[in-house]
Amino acid sequence: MGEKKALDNISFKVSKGEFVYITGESGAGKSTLLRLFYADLLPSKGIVLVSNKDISNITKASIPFLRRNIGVVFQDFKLLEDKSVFENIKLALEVFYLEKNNMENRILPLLRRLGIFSRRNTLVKNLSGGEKQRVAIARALINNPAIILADEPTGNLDQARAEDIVDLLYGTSKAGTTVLIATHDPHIINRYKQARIIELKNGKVIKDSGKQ
Amino acid sequence: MKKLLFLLLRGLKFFYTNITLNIASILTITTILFVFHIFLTISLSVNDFFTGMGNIQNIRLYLNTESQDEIKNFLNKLNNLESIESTTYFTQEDTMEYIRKSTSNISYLENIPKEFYPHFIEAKIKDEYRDFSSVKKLENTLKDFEIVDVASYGEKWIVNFSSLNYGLKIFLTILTVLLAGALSTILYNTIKINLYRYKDEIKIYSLVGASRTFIITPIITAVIIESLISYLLSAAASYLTFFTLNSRLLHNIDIYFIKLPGITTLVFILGVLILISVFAGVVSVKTFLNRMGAINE
Repeated sequence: MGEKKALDNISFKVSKGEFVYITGESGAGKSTLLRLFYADLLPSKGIVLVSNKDISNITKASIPFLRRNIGVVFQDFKLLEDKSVFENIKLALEVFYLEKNNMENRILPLLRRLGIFSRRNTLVKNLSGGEKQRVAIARALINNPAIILADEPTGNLDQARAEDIVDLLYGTSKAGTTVLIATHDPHIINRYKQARIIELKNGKVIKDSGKQ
Repeated sequence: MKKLLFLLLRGLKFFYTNITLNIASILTITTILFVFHIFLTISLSVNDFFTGMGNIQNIRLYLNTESQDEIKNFLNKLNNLESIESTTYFTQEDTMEYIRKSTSNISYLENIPKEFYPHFIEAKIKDEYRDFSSVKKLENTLKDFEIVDVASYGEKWIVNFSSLNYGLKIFLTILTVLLAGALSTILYNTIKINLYRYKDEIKIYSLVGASRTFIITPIITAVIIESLISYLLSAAASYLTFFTLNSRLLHNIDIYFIKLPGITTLVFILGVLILISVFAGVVSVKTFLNRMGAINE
């Protein structure tokens, strides 16, 4: 009775390589929507399909396999402050039991691509906000995931750094990765006007620019 | 194999990283195991002692006749019984000699004439009939002979020893259960504390697709190492204690009471300890993971 639904009667499909903004005011349901995709939450009703697989009732044992195919970036970075940039990214490769040489061969070129190669041995606590977010993106990208989910990735950054980060994510989508960014920052949304925008309000989709 | 080795090495690293925090836990477990070893050794020694004391080899028959013919006849019957290996008849004089020899310091016995000593038959029981129920059965058979006044084999002592031994075993069982509970709780809590320290790291591993095996195995490995170290320390301390007690004190006064547990017993205890550790570890990690909450809260 009177229970508020975080998401209500939502239905949309995102194609491979699409760049999508999920937008709306605080509490609209943006983060909740993203959490459904990496099974941090399970829906009380309905179906969530990721890469054509129904994950609405995914078992605990299957969740790791889903997440290995999804990179997630957060506003608060979720990095280990007392570990170096390299060690933070290495965490994502350890779950594949890779050898050290193999890890280096994958991490170092990515760090160069993201412009943080010189900071590879620096502790995360000594990095700027923009650098931390690049490390978080590097961790999300290291396993070449099919999907990148970014939850307010620019929320802690100034305008210039925020644009940098969105450019990086946009570039990733151009390379074939599906990118969903939850944001309420109009500057970020206006940067790529051709991108699809799904707007939420009180848990409902009120606008979907991708819908014909 | 490569994956297992990777996880075991992570467990070793996890243990090494947390060693300063786990010292208190290692010392507590060592103390508990040391107490257990002490009681186990005492229990084994007492059991061994009582078994030796309660080993019924002979039954002594006091007779209500002095007729040598009847006695000779009875000895023949006794020797034909299946459970009897041999018989020896002690005359009153033999009894007197025997007692005087075995109690050389008690001089007043010299003044007691042979008429005051009993004559009896000592019947040696065959090995396979020395258990308590067979002896009891033999006693009843022998009591049916009219010539037998009393058949004695120290029953009262044996029953007392058995009760004491049984009581000690119950005590050791209760102690084992309580100590196992204490060990599980200590290990459970130590692991939980360590896991809370690594909560953020575990959440990130979970985010990037680490399986439960990947998260649990290193922690269980670290717990096993912790238990193994505690066990070796406690076993060494216990062995040293009893070895010193034997060599410095008991053996010097001709007491060979303490019997140290054999290697099979020690390996068995280690096995049980590792099982308890794994159980406590798995329960601790699983409850932690189930209550850890969402990644993005």
